[in-house]
Amino acid sequence: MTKKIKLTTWLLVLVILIVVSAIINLNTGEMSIKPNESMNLLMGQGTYTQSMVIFDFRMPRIAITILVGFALAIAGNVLQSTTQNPMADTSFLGINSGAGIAVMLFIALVKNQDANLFLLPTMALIGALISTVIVFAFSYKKETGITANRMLLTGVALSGLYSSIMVLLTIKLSPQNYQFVMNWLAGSIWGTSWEFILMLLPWFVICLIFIFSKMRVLDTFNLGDEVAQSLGVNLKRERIILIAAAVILAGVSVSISGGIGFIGLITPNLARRVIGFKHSHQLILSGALGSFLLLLADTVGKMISTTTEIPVGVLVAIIGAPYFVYILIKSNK
Amino acid sequence: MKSNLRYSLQITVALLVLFLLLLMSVRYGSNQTSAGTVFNAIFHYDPKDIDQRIIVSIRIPRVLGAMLIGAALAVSGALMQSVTKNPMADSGLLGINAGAAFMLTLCFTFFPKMSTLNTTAFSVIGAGISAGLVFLISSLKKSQMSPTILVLAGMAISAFFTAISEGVAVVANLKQDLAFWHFGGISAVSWAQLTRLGPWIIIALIVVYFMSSNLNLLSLSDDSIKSLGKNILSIRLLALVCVVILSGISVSLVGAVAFVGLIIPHIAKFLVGTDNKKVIPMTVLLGADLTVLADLIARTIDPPRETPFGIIISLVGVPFFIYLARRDGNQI
Repeated sequence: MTKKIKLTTWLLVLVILIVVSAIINLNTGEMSIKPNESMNLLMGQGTYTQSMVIFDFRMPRIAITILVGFALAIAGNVLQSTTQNPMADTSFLGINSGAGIAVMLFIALVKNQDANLFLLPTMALIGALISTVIVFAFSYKKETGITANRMLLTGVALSGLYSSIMVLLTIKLSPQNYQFVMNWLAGSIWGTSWEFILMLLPWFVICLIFIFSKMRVLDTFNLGDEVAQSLGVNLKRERIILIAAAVILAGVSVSISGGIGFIGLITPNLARRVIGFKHSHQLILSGALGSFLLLLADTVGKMISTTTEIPVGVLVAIIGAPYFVYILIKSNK
Repeated sequence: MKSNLRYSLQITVALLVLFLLLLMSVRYGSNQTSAGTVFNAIFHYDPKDIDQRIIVSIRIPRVLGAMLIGAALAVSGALMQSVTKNPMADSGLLGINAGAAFMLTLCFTFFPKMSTLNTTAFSVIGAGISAGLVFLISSLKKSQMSPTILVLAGMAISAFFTAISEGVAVVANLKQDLAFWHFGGISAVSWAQLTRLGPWIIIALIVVYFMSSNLNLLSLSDDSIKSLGKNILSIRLLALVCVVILSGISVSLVGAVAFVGLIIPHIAKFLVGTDNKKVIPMTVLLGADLTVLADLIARTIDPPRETPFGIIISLVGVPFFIYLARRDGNQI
């Protein structure tokens, strides 16, 4: 009972914080709009430029930030639970570097990049998925299927290989393209229009519903492989399906936001320290923490400077790490 | 008995490979020299001959540096994996790479004309600071530096320092300078650095060898170690101090070379089993082999330009690693 209350309070506070940061985010930028003006805009009054800035640029960006933060956190959580390794994150499966290679090839080879807005994220998604499939294929063995440790190790090794290939490619890039790719890799939310959200949403909804329906199964992973097996859970199969769902979530996110690695790593660990190991509690809490952390980082980034783009992934770590250390020291587990 | 024979054979092969690689590395490079020149440079050194001068003052320190650094990084990876009980751990987890990179970024930004020897000193300091922070955080808990806390604190600290250096680099526009450092290059290792820093690496390696039976204990649970009458905290602490010395120095010399520390200990375990008395020597040799080989490839593949050798390491090491990981009969 107390856990329920604690969870509800945390979620409530997080939602309020998300709303507050969203409002601040809405009002900051190259064109500053006062809070009362934006209230007017929401009521349907205001100048044309103002409403364009708010509705067509800032609102979709905020929505995407919230969605991506949520998705990355859940994906990280699923991976950590299914592998029972607190260091695991979807970026270790080659998702970021795979998407990076695809983006880089696209920028280097395709001349007319503005032809279709969706080309770049689609390429990134394809790159992310192909590289993950390669990781899966190499960690699969007939007798044992995919074991957690083999997958993580193969994933780390292969994603290092992908990064190396990527660096080899960067030597061929012009400085501007190089800058773009590097900022992309450090994580910058750039897909900021409602069309992108429409593209994201179906993937997110399907994967999230699936993952949340498997909360009980995720709990059994905590008991260790043997106990779970004796409870009648087919761990090998469940693990692969759940990881596949996490990979899709992360791949889709990365295609729009670049490689934001830290969220998936830190928020599940935070959530576990705060609320414990039950997935009906930790999943939703890590998701909410992810949304808030990413939105906060984006807002702080905009407040520091509207001209130099500090990648949001950088700010996520600068804000998130000290808080994480604080929780680490304070919690009793 | 049979396994001992196999082990001695493996060690001999690894030693021979290392010896051959060392000779080849001294001979081949962007400046072609004959075997005779190499022989003369070593045994009848004549400072007036420019080829011999290149060999003695540039190639030999570089090759020896590569050897020591490879061994150091690989062993510190093995130590981290034992201490944290996590197969994905390497010395990067103590924040060493990130701390060194952070200091280096500050040096590049504020004192762009600083000499290499000084920047090395600063990155050793950076590595020390972040490792100290990780120690501090994990010792604030009562549970005697538990592996999980160490892993988590290490992740947080290194992410923090990496992010700050990235942020500074974006603002100061020096991303491409740092990228080379991040993927490693041995070109800068000189006799001066080698004589100053090399002995530390060698001492630490010897210490690690003598504590290898204690390292075996770390795979047990904390309670079982205590019941054997051993002090876990002191074993862990000694191991971590060795990691800081070994990889702090290496990273400051050649940059954040990933993978040697992650992959080599696993390869060594695939070959000789899990007893650290065998794993540590094998790790030393294989680490040296891989780094010397990668350095050799890095400077001969596209002369006179150098390919960052961290890339070569993963291009060479990763396929081999995956092959071994998939071979029948091993337990991961």
